Amino acid sequence: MAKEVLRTVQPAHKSDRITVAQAKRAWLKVEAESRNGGSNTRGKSKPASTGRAKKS
Amino acid sequence: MPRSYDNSVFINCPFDSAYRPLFEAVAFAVYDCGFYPRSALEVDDSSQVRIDKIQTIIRQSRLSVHDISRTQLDTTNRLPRFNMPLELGIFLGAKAFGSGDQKRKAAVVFDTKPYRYQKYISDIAGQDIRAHGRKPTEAIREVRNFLATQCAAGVILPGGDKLAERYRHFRKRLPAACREVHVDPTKLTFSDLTNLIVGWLEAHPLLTGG
Repeated sequence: MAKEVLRTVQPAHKSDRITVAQAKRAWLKVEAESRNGGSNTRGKSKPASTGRAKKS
Repeated sequence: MPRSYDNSVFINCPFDSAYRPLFEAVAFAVYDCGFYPRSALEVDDSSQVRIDKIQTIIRQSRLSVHDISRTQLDTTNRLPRFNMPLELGIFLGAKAFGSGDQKRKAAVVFDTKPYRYQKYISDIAGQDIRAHGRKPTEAIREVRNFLATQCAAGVILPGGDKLAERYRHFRKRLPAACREVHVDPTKLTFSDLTNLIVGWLEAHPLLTGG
């Protein structure tokens, strides 16, 4: 039956609503991570120093 | 700015996954222009008959965006879908036969190509019918241009290119933002989508170069 097949975006359900405040926080976090090169790569691009001096 | 009759925009369009990018783009453009998108999806009340929901929203909306581009033969039953033309007819009827504020209604009608409508719904000739070519950025530009004619005197909306650029930014980061709030970006409710749009707009105000 083709009826309603084309209306697949879900109606709003109050129980699982995202609030605007939650959404805004999510966007700000995503933007901050994007500016920092992504949370998954944070700290990995530059290996920690071993403290040893380079041999000349 | 609170939602009112004057700034409410009824979006009459298909809700399938193929149309989803256009739906999101139109909803985004409406918000970014300072108006409020309204949709039959905003109400989750099984006790209310669908057409009643739609009539209520139409009564509460001065403006509307109608997309009749999906008027085509269904591959299964070889019949066209007529929900969108029906809802356009209700809107035009409200303007024609309603009183007071209903007379001030204004609409823009989208189709895939200019003049295609003349082959199946020629009675609407004379309405403001525009082609989006199934491109979200084109739909954004057309929605912006329509709403620019409906703003209060002295208000200048950002250009269509700017709005399209902001939409692309929103869309690019939407999956990441959805992960933060634990929702599947392909299964957003209308409420989820609109709150994510408003959240993005609050985080990226236009006047500060967002």
